[in-house]
Amino acid sequence: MNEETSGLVAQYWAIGFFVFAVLALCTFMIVAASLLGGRSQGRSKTLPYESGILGTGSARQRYSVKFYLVAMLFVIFDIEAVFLFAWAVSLREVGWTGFLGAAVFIFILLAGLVYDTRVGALDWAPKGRTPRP
Amino acid sequence: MPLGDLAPEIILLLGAVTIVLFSAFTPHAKQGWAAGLALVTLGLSAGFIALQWPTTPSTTFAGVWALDAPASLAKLLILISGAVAVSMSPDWMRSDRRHGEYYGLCLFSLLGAMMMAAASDSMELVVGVLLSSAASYPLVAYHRGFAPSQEAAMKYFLIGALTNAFLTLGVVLLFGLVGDTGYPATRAALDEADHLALSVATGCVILGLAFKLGAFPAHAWMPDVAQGAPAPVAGLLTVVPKLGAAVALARFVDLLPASQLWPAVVSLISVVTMTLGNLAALRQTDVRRLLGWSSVSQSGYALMAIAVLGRTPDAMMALLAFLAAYALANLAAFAVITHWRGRTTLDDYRGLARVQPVAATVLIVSMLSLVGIPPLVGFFGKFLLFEATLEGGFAWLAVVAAINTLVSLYYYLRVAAIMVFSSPADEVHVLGRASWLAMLAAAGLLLAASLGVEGLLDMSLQLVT
Repeated sequence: MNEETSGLVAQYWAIGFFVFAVLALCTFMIVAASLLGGRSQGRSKTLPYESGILGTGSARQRYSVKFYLVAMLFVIFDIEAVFLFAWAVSLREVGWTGFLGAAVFIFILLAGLVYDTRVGALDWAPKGRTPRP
Repeated sequence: MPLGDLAPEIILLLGAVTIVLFSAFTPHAKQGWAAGLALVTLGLSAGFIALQWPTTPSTTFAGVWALDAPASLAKLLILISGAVAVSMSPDWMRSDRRHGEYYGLCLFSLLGAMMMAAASDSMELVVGVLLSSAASYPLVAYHRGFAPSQEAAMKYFLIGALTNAFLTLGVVLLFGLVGDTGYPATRAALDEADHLALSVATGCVILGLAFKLGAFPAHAWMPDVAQGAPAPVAGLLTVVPKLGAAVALARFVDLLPASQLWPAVVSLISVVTMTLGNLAALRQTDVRRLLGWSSVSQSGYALMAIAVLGRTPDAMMALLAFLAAYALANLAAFAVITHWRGRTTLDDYRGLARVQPVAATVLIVSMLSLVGIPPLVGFFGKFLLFEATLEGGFAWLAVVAAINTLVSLYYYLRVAAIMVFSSPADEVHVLGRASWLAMLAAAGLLLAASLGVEGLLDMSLQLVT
């Protein structure tokens, strides 16, 4: 083992020990619990634990696609805000060219918003007006 | 900032936004007008590219965009391919509820490919790849009630999401290594960069671009998209991202120091891609899937030119000539398939040469051009490619490609044989007059390129060198 390697080991042995300790602790907890722990069977033992209340129905419910739509629209305009922050902190440096660029950017997103409204993406009620003439 | 340098891209962007707004306010019967708008936009954009054809390579917008002959040529090819695909679409999309927006998405996808071709900055490359990918996923899934289309889109999206993430990872690593995203600064700083980290970054970027190229190991979407997507979209997506990504990959590997052994890596990917594509195409009983695998193998050929980049001055020229020939032939083939209402199984092509002589001839001619039979433009593309590969000292690669070309002859001719020698099963339903004209236009482009290839080669040789 040369000088450099032993230097590295001397400096970082604690990290290696930490990784080993984590793995060892996990193994110990799982193995010891499975060896020492008691087991009991029963009909109600296999039910999901809901703090003493019986669960009703399946957890796999279908919900309206509108929720995803809201999430997507949120992300789009959130990212718009992110870009506008970058523009805002460099407002003086980029000058009117930057203003023009930001304006084009905002107008393109505005066009998207207009489109969304027209095709009915913003109609939250189940039966809105017909999206397309 | 010189806004005029970006005029072609800005026009395309404004055109796409206009189409989206237009289609939101227009009744369904008039949405076909959006196709006209898209064609006008593409024509204007191409006009601006021709007007500002760069005589000396330069960059603009703080070194982010390359303005040189390969970029302009690739952009022009992208616009022409886009125009052919757009003119194939109105008949196909007429009954779709979202007819108008379709053209907007097409233009966005073209814009992404143009950005890839012109990117001289790794972040710009990422934006181009993402724009082109994000606009392509909905195009593939455009027929929402059609399960194969949904499946193709899902595969395309999942592979795309994974490889785009790798691409971004690679670019971030590269930025960490050199402290800059611009290509000139990257080139200068890469010699002192850590080799292992650079190799990982290179691998990630190549993987990301292999997705857009349809090259191994991210090729799996290509046959599915060719089979399941709406036929005009299949034509668009087997051609346009490839044009952008090939030039982008050429630009990227050109930066790397020799210690990265990138010619070996690229030639290896090239061999695997072309062999895999051809072997898979051999047994296909579905013509569109066959064309998808054939485009995978064509990506392999295109990578040959990238492998010899920098060893021979003709490499870039050969790459673009090959891509141009491939784009025209592949679009003509998909134009025929669109005209025939996107029929897929090989059995449905029985005896079509007797019932539909003109369209069948176009399909056969385009397939022969894809193989590289002499009078057609595909031959010249492949000839230049082989010549450049031999000059660059990759004789073994040229030999493998020649064997692959021979193998590919079998499956292209099998389709031709079934169309010519079998008897027709039942009557043929075709799409309409517009798709007929689009098919003739695509065939006309292919033939014009074949006849005028000498002149074109001389001209582009002058432009590139």
